[in-house]
Amino acid sequence: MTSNFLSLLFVVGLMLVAVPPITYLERKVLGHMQQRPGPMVVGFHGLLQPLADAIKLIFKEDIVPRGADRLLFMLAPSFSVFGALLAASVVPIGFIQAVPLKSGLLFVMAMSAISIYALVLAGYASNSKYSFLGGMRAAAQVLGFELPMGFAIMAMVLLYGTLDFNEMVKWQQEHGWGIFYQPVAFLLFLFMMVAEIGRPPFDLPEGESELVGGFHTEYSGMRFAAFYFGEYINIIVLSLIVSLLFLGGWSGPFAKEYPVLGVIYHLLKAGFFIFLTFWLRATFPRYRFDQMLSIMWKIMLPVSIVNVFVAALQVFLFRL
Amino acid sequence: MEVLKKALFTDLLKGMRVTLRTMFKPTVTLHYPFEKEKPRKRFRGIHALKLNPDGSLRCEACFLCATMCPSNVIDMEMTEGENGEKVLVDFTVDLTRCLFCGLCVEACPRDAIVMTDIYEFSQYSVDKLVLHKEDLLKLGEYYQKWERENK
Repeated sequence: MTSNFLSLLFVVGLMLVAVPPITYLERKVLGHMQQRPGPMVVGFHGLLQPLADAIKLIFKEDIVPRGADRLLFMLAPSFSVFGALLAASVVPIGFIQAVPLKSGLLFVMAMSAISIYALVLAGYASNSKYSFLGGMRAAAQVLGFELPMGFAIMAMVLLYGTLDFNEMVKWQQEHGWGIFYQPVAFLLFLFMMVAEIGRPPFDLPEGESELVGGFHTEYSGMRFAAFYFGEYINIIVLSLIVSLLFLGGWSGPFAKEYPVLGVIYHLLKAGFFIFLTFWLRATFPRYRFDQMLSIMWKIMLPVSIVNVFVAALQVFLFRL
Repeated sequence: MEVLKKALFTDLLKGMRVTLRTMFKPTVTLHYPFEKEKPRKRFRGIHALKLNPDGSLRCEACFLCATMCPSNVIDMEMTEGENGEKVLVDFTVDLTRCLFCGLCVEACPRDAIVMTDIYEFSQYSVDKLVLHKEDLLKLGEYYQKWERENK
């Protein structure tokens, strides 16, 4: 595993460079799923649309509402980006890993929870009731989904016996992908991943129809964009982690001989999950708040706890 | 069975299959500012005042359209001419309130007020949406050309 400054540059650069194409692809995919072409006007098939968006966001007036908590209001978007980037720094992509960490999974979970704090803080600091409600919903959502997610991960950690991503992939190269051992944990993690990045159908902190705009009602310009930057980086990071935990990461045919192939496999697997988030967004309406909470607390939590027992039994019986 | 159905997300997967399938279907959108839909023959667009073949006004200022209008869109100004006939000074149509019901067209005994097929008439200021006699006559020229070609 190469762990140096170059890998850090690669990982952070990938995260920052990948966001505009992903926003473009999302709009294209959403458009085609609704039988319309998506962005078409700027450039060939709308390819320059992300650039146009960036220009628009940079030159938009940046407003701080009267009575807002200025410091927190300005800090909140950066929490979103830096939390996501910190999480990205420990995630290995193939043989490239910026910071090799023995407890990488734990660190990622902590950091992606911080990017939810950004939403809560933004809602709190905006001095707007709509934003405040959005922030509160974000807080309730964190409480709701972090537990099942933790239990889903706990099952996998029991199975692999490690928190280190590299060890996990090594285990999966020997024994087969984790999804075959723990399909329930996979589904749980998938749901919780969508909830964690706050995307439809679990995008309750925002809500155009109920909350004007949600936690980011009062934000404009680059600060508004920063939230979305954080959100999209989180999508990439969590997609990479799902493929690490359940789909064998960079393992695949000839990946051991040619490590570059491993990087491609890993990115392709992650790409599928990124596509999945678009797909879910195009398919399902937003959950009602009480529905979401009851799903989290009444279904996901018991299922995930039982699943931890199942995982423990698996380890005990098969001496994995 | 019900529990199994719920646990395997069959309903959710069904919905996802639909969206995935539509993704590969051709798009049905019109690229509006570049491609335009041609309105049907009886489409009720912006108003126009027709002229007689000899160039005189068809409208006789009988006020029937103004009386008929449910939202008081039409207003006229008239004076008495030399031989005691009504002479139209101004004819205003307030498009901000018009609901394009076409009752004025129905009411007109001389087929003077008509509705064209123009549906793009947004303006940057509201007072430009109040059409006066000259605007309506200009539109009337357009309408009569359209009528010759299409009816």
